[in-house]
Amino acid sequence: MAISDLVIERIEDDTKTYIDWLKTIELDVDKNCFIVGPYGSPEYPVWPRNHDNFHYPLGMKKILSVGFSGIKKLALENAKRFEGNQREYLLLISKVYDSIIQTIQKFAEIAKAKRMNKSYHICDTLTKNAPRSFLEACQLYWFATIFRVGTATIGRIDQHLWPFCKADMKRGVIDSGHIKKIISELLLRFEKRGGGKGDTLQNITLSGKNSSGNDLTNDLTYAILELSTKETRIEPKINVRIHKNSPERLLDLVSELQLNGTGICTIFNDDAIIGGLAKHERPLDVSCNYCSDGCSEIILDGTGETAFRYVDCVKAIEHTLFNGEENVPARKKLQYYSGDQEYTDVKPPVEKGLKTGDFVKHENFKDFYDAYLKQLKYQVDIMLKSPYNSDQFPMRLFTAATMPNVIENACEPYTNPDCFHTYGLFIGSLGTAVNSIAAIKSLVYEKKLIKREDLIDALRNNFKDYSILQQLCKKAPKFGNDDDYVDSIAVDIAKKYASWVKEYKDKMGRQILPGLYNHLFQHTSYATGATPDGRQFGDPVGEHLSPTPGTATKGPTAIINSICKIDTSEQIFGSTLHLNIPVVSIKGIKNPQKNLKHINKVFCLKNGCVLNINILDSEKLLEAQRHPENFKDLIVRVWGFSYYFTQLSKEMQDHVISRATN
Amino acid sequence: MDGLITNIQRFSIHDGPGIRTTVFLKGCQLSCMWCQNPEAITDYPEVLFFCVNCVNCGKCMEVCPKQCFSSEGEIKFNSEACNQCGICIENCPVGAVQWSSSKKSSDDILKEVIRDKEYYEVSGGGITLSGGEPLRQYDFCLDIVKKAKMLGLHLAIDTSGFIQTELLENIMNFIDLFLYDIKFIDAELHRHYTGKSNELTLKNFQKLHEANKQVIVRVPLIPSITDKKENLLQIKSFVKTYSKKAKIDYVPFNGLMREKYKMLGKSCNI
Repeated sequence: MAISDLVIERIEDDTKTYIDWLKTIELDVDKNCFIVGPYGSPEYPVWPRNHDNFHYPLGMKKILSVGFSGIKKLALENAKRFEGNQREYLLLISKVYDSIIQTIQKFAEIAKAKRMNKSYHICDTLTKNAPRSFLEACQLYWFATIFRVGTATIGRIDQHLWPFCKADMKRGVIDSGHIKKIISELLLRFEKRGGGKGDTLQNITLSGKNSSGNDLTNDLTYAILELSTKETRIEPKINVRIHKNSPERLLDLVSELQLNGTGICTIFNDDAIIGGLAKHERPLDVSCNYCSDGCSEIILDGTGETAFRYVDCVKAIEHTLFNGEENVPARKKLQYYSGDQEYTDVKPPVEKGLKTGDFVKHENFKDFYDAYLKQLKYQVDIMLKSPYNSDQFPMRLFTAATMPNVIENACEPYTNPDCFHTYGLFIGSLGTAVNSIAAIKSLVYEKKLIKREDLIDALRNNFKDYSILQQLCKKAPKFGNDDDYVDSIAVDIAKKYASWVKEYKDKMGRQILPGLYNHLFQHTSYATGATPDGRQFGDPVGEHLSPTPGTATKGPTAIINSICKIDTSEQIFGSTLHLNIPVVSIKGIKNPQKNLKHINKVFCLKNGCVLNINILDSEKLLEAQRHPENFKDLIVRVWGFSYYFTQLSKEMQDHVISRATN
Repeated sequence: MDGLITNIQRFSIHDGPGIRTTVFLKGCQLSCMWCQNPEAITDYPEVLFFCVNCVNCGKCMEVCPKQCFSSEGEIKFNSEACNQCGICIENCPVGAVQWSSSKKSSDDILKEVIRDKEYYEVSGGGITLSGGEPLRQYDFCLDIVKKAKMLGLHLAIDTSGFIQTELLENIMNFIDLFLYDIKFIDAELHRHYTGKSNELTLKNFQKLHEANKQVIVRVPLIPSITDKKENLLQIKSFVKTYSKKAKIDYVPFNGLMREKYKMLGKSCNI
């Protein structure tokens, strides 16, 4: 388990920067708060994502069990057993943690000077020991969060903190009122730290089952959910793991939270996901510890990092029809999601496709479909031929030291056999691609209503002067209507795609994980010209595994039936369904949350993986677009996060409105 | 057996308990002014014009022998002269003109209904027959109802109760829940606004009560017509005469049917 010179060189470099950065943390001690320390972090002098993409949680269990001082001690002790770069690596870890302890010491001193005895004692303890109470554990949790540099995924917070909570309750030191108060304070910190920015990656994952199948919901889980139902916050994003033995009270709270319509709560189905991870060479105990990443992908809590790439299956349609070329009327610039962001060029992940031949000469559907699969596989191969991480950017030591056996093995996480990383490849907006294939199959090859050359000409002209042809395309069968004609194409592509991706391994020889996900759906909309499903350039494509907005006309049950035909546990990196329920359809119903609860249950019964329910009111959204000043609090789901509707870019607002018509 | 239906609506949560699928059967003897499903009143298929899909190619105007279509920039449809010849439907290149109903077999209907079986099981839902007046196609209705029972589905029916009592007695054992529309107790008002007497409706309500059937009374609240205090009190007292526990649901009026009248090429009087 050698550590290369380059790793040491880069880490030394970053460690120096990191320690200097720590010194700049503003030492404000908030009097009204249990938890001292700033909301935000000072800016990091170099782009931090080189060493941390913040999409995965810290090894919080490790931090809480031994404390920062314990990690430092462990590094120093183990350093004696190793030589060369490995010894150097551990000494650097102890140096980083020493600086962290000194920072906390400074907090303690300020608290003392301000006569905040409680805060002083907590901080003082944390410089020397592991936390001994729930309050100390929460304080340490918050310090660890600040010292991470950027806002990041939080992980299974109710599991991390529960042992401390439980012990305190047993000792009679705290009751449920205290728990709520303390955890609410911590959650509020996360919200403030996010600064109302939306895509901050601050996700918590609650509940879930263990490897014996026992449910792990606890009082802390309930406290967090109850707090969230009372007050609508955009942070942290809430993800709840459910399974067939989840308590009814948990399911009730989840549906109540879903009913607020903001999409802040996403459910993950343990019964499908844990088995799915096992199919991908992840051991059972590690799989049981999965959580949501920064959006709604599936990763392993505190055991490794994650990184992803994506291929564009809608673009592959274009490549197939235009013999590897693009058919985009113009290159568009877009804001990422918020109206105050810069405009950047929209480009597909792969601009030029393969030469699979002239579509006009594809005499039968099979010719076309085979060509399509080739285009898609071509993109997969391009994306996966280079490794996901490199010695050039080793994991920052603060984070690395919290990962399994990094210190004990004196081995950095990327090549550490005890770390389980999740590297994934996404294919998103599959429904939109499948709709195009179904339209071609039905209209061009079976009913022969459209000539191949006419279709090409219509697409080249973005359907201008082809309104009849476009209407025919729009009326062709669509994904999300429980129609086997279309759905079977999605099933087939997903299966083939998963088999291609599984051929690729990470540095530790573990499978790359496929997923049906696309957070860049807006890019897809504007990186691809008109498509044979009747979509014009810029018209929306489906997010993740969701149907194309406006095309699923049979309601939520049909949508779930359609997507559940695909074995999403094979697409284990994440196959999220955004299920949009128009507010009119539940209007006038007593306790509409029970309908949502039933939908959640059936989704899990049918082996679906990740579900995010949105309740959308198209009239309200349109009104908010006209009069943003009156709708400042209106929150909607974007991709892996929820955000204020009126602060979204115009294009993203339009996309959300288009979803409301489903 | 085949019958005429206008729609199969899944994730239907307003018509009975749980998540249901509602099948809308065509044809109704009443002609309530406020009918929410005007496309389901006649016993025969009518022409529906979907202006959102229309590309204004003018083909319908060209082929219609009765000049039902006109154009002032956009195509408009007026069905007054329409004799349901269907030539427009055959000729529309984009399917913007369609029949308001289709002939479907009870087997096909149940095949679609059963696709949401898990939702019914989890939520205590099932199938609801609505319309039109579903009992108007009595034999077809009986066929569906029997088959649905064989599949173990919870069955609700949304009815005006305007049916011969003997037929109702014959079918009611297959039905788990009646969503029973009562509009007026006053016979004259009923005749005036619906075109028919309410004698059967009130009598059949009694029959259902005697047979101990589960009934939810539904009263449409039509502004200044049915929602008058006196009428509502009369309905309440009528219902309570038979059962103290009977549930009454008041269904608020919405103007959504106006769009449907437009599609039918008819004018809406409310």
